[in-house]
Amino acid sequence: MAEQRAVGMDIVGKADAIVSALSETGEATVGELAERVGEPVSSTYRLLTSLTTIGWVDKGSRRGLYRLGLFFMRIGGVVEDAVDIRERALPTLRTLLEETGETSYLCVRRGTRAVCIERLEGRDVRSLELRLGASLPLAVGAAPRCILAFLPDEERESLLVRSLRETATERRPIDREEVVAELDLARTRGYVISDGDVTKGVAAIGAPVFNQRGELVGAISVSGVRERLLGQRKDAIVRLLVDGAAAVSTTLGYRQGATR
Amino acid sequence: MTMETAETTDTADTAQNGKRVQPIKVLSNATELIEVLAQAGPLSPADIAERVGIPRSSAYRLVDGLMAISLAETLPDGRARLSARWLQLADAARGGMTEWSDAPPVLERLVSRTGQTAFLSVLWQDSAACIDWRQGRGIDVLATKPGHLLPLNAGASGRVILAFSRDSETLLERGRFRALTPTTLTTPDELHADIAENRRQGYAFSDGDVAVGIAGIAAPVLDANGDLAGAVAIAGLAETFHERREEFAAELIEQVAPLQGIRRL
Repeated sequence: MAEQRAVGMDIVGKADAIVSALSETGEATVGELAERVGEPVSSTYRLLTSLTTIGWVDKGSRRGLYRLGLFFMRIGGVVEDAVDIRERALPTLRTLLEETGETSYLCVRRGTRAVCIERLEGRDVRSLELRLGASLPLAVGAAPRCILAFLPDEERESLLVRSLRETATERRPIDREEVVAELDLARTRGYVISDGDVTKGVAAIGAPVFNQRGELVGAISVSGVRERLLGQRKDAIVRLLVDGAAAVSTTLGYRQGATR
Repeated sequence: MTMETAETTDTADTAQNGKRVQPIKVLSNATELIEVLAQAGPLSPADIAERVGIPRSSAYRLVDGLMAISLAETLPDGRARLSARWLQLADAARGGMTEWSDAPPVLERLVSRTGQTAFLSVLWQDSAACIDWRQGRGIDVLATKPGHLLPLNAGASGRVILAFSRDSETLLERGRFRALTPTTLTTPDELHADIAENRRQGYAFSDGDVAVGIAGIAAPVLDANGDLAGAVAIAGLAETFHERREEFAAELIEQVAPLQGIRRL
């Protein structure tokens, strides 16, 4: 077994040698690659066949040439997207923090949960929930409910059902009707208010972020002590948040009226 | 992707008990794992194991293997995610497409002459894969970008690829064409008509069928054999394209002319 394991991982190393070589040379023949990686041509050829099957390598521009597969562009594109939204949201998060003094968050959806991928700490309260990298079920909180509210209809219902179950298991059962009402309200007015459903005494306000296809890609939110968030400054904070989320959407190519 | 063959092991890969190891399985599992991380973001090895359908111990080993070659990294909480090396490899993959090394100046000229964002796309597994772009002045048109795939029924590039491929009919039959906006073409009748129109005029005009409010025009690039090699497109605000459609189409076809007869396999 240990033998198989060692060999299995060994092949990953050999694959990497080919990938690295191709990333340096661009297109190359079997012979050139075999020499660069210091392996026999026969085994290099067999490995190239395997790598071509799984897409890591593509045939090149002419017969006999190999190159890195489009697979790398595709996955690289996704990785780049994951990086982009955080970078593009940061200016807005900073503005929110400066203007409101409250903790600001950027969340994206991962399966049935909302994951916090950026968070700037407010001046006073340090909430234990939704730390950087942590997640909440989509059925609770401002940013998660925002995500749920603006997903396409087809997805929303099944996600809601699963999320309510998750919430009941890991936190406490919550009222489906109440959540649905909040989601409907969010779609009308463009933001979500969460009042103590994550942590008693803590409120949050969230607004959605869309990409160029009008697809929801995440949500921006602020949270803090409910008296500060939902008191006199509520409307001003809502305005800042909705404008801020719209600004992030714009940098992702979103145009007003691009609906899903 | 389905694994066609189980061959490919060296004699050196045979374990001592005589049982043949199948390293290809390791690579295909690694690929699955990579796809899962790309789709779902950072995941724990347990979650990875569940989604890929492998034992947890295998997931740990694979993550370690990918970390050893810098394709993955772990977060403080133990979740694995794809590393920044993918961004470099994406660029390297683009660099390997040497038959398109004359494309960047063409894209740049299109941007400078039209102010719109320019894209280069190729057919890849029944989708239009964007492999290069130059961003236009003013707004960022993110309808597609390098590494992104669009279905062949949505957007000027995909529809031009569909119209000018020898395998049009096969691509039509195989396609699963969903609507990205209210005006996306999805039915065989609509697409046949579109193909005919695009062949007649030599380009495709996209009007809000990928993103509402965004329009584009794409022209085909044929290789030395007369087969479709790819498509070059410009895209931007729909209002601009409504005003300047003829002018843009002419500009596009003229600028793309030097790429025709491109040398490849």
